[in-house]
Formats: sequence, C-alpha cells, structure tokens
Amino acid sequence: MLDIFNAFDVSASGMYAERIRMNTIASNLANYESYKNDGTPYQKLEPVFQAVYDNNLLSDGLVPVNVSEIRQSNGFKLIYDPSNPHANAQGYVREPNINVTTEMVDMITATQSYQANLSAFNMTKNIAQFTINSWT
Amino acid sequence: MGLFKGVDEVVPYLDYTWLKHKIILSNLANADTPHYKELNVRFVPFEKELALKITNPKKQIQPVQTGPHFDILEKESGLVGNDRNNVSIEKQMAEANANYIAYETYMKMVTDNINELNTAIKGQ
Repeated sequence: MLDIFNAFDVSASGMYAERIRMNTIASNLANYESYKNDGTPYQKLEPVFQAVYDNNLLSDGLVPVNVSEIRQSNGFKLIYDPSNPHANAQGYVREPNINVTTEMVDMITATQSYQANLSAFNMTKNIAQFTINSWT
Repeated sequence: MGLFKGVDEVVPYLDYTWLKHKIILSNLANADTPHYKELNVRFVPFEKELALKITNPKKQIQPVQTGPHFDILEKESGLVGNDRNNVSIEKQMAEANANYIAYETYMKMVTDNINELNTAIKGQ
C-alpha cells in the first residue's frame, strides 16, 4: 500500500492539467478582443496534454498526465472594417481567432474532468482510511 | 497448518481491486489527453503452463502452476472523439464506485477472517 501516494499523485496530475486548461480558457476569454503591444492580435492559448508512460509506474497501473507545453495557435479572423485603426490597406482587420462558444464548452469539459479527478482522489483517500480503520 | 488459507484466498482479489482503482485513476487523469487509450486490467485467477519447451518426448515435464496474476490491457474499441481518446468519464466513475464496494467487501472478508482466528486463539 506504499504506492498509495503515487495514486494520489496521478489524480493530482489530472487536476493540475485541468486547472492549467481553465487558466488558458480564462486568458482566451479575457483577451478575445485584445491586441498585443506590437499591434498583432492576441493568439489563442492551448495546453498540450501528454500521458507519461513510465515502465515502473505502468506496471502498477499508473499513468500520470503532464502539460508538455502551452502553445499559441496560428491564424486570425479577417473582418472588413475600414474605419478600424488596425485595418490594412484593403480595409481588413485581423482579430483574435477565439470562438467564445468553443471556449465556454471547453470550460464545462475541463470543470467536469477536474471534478471527476477530485472524486477519484477522495475515493482513494476513503480506501486508505477504510484500510487503516480495519486494523485498529 | 493452513491457518491463513482463508486470507490467502482473498488477498489476490484485494490486490486486483487496488490495481483496478489505480488504473481508473490513470484513465480519469488522461480523459482529455490526445491519443490516450483506456487501460483495463484482466484478472487471470489460475493457470497451468509449461515453463520449458519439450525437446525430448521421453522426459516427463510437469506443468508449472502459476498463481493469480493480472494483465494490463489497452482498450482499442469504444467511442473515439477528434482527439482519438476513448475514455468515458461516466463509465470510469461507475466502475470506480463498483470497484470501491468490491474493495471494502474483500477487506471486510480479510479482517473477519483474522478476527475469527483471534477469537479461536483467545478461546472467547
């Protein structure tokens, strides 16, 4: 039962990853109309999740998750608005490529995944507690 | 003496439920990881296998009896989304609850067995 701490770590890695995802969603929503200092539009942030297959941990059934990078997605929305100060010679304005609806849906998914990991964490705690209480 | 025979029979099932719990934790942690495939564990209760290759038919080779063991498998089927991940959070939560009850039952069987032995030893 010594590997119970590794079990906690796996749930914690899942919660950490989902929290990072929530942070990026919050940044994306806050900046969905923002421009950088150099005048280019804000680029959507996306966390990249990666499963960590370590042979020692895998033999115990443990596969934690890692946020390998937070990348900026390419591409902008082009809107025709000649009166905008950011408009180019043809009258088009580049805007951040953020879809608010997509972000909201991602936020719900991230919340549910976080809650699932938290429930599993509590279940592990209950198992440990039950095992200890059985022998006292 | 076989004093702990009752306990020994339950322990593999206890190990199995604990391993399954850890696998469910991994599946939930990776529910949003692209290309991750759901892991599952298979309980192989008991099997007889030949440990050596038969080279001389005159030689009698007794089958080697191996104890219960577990296989960790990757599930290829299931609903796969755009990220090629086939983990269902709802299914995992249902399995986690069922597995938790199973763990408690097996643990209760072990402790009851030990308590019975205690009663027999003390003669009370």
